Amino acid sequence: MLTAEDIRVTLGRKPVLHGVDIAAEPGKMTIVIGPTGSGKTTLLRALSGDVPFLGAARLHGLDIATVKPRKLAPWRGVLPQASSLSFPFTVREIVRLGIREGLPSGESGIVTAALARVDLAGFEGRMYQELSGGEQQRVQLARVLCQVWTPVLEGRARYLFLDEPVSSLDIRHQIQIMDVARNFARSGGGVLAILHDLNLTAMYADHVILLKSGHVHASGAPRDVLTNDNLSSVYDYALAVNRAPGGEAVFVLPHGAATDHAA
Amino acid sequence: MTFTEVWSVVRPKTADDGDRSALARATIVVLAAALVLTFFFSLASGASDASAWRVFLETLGFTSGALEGADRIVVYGIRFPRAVLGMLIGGALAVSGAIMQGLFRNPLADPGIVGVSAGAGLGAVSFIVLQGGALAPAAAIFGIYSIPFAAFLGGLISTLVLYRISTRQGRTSVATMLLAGIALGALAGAVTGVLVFRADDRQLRDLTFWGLGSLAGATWTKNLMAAPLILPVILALPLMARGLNALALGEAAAGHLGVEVQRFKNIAILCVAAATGASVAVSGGIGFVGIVVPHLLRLLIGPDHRFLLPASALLGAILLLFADAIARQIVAPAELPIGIVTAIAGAPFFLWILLRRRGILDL
Repeated sequence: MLTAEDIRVTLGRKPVLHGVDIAAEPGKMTIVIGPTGSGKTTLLRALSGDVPFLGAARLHGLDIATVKPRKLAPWRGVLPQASSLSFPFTVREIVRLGIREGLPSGESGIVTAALARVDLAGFEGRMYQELSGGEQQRVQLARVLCQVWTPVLEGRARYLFLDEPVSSLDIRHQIQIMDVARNFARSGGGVLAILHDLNLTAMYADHVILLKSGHVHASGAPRDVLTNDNLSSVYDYALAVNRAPGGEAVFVLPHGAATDHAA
Repeated sequence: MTFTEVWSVVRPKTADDGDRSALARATIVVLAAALVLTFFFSLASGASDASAWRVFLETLGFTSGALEGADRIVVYGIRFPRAVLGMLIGGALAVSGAIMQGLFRNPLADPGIVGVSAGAGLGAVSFIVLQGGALAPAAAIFGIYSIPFAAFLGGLISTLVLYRISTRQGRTSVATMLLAGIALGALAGAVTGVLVFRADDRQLRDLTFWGLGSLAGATWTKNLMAAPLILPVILALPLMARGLNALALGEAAAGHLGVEVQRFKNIAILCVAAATGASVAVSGGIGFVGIVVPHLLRLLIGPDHRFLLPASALLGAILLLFADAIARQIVAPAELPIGIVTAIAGAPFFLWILLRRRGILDL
């Protein structure tokens, strides 16, 4: 179980998070949304142990602020928004970095399986730096998947922290990667993801956290959080939440666009 | 036909499955064998001509008495400690380059180029000049290890300063690193110059070789001075590989993978300073080994530090023995400082790397 209470972060002199409470349950897709600058990435970085914070954040009882990185590593993989690489590694060599030392048997199987899961089967021999941005992002996701390969370890859930995992992907791969994350959750793991796309959020979230200026504006089931009032207020723009005819699917449109179509 | 075109034909193709570990392991075995051969040829080559085969048999105890009189003294009294020292120093230079490049996440980082060797040289020269005066108590405590330790401290300080200047929030700026390195090197050189002015004649003789680097006058004592700093670094290589690999993804990602980044960087900096300090203390500034060796090996077996680090140690040792053989023979019976040989071969190589990467480096 991942819980965070009263998380406060100050970057330089600027307070970015003012007391954020969240919980991400195993088996669920917890998705954080909010405008640019609302503190989504800072929240994820705090929970990953990258930036100092005040407040209490725990993953299975481990205090994220003080625990050694090597104790935390088996329990959560982190996919950052952007990745860099300083030397010419092959795709296989990158993905392999996710595997902890000491399990050499089946190593090659895991790498191949992880690449297949992100739709990059056969890319093992390619040079990472020669891939497109979207392909690189999927290679990094495969590496993160290797780190937490079984969603449940010793009876406890492992977590995926994903910062805009689909930002540079085309729509087919957006759906594919979101499916990978949802399958991870359905198999007992936990997922905490930041998304910009409200419609993907509506499709995939079990629990939505809506951030505004470093506060949690709303938190709960998608149908309770994704409302006209909440979204329009947080994004400071008239947004309309619609329901697809004859279905449960929810989609969000800018108000102007929605009325144009209606007219 | 340019070198690049030739290379594109002869370069080893990456296996289709992206797994270069078999190639890397084979390379390490070949390098180890080549080092043994080079070592015996190095014992045999020089003004007094003993055959490598006879030296080999004699050394391993298969024959006795095959080497006589003067040959025996030259081979075992002079060349043997020199060849051992050459291997130690070559390995240390190449490994400190490889570690530094991994730490700075940059293939152009090298103790010789960014002023760390100059800092180590300043440490050593300070001690030589001041050992009769201000540093006399230290000389009494550390004995023969005083100069290597002083060089280690000098190297450590310059590495720390360089790292603080060129790295911000886990990102190293290449341009800042190179420019800060020039300034640090110049500063260390200037202070060294001041100290040299204060040196007496005997000290001046000791100091003359710092500038260019030389294995001349290698003795078992010098091996004893260098080994306690170099061997622990070599033994620590397997422990550093995973951290350096993870660091290639950036500091945050390395932390997510379980690396204790700050502690790991401290250890890496200590290793660089120890290996550089030891080699500068006993052989002066021998340049470019640390940049040429890891770069060649990355082209061949890739950047995986599990293999790159040991392979660098082996190839560095081989290249330095070769350079020493050239230095001893090209102007025989005199000898060139080995630093001249490595600079003549290494500096154009460095320029070639710059040329290939200047687009990426944004200099």
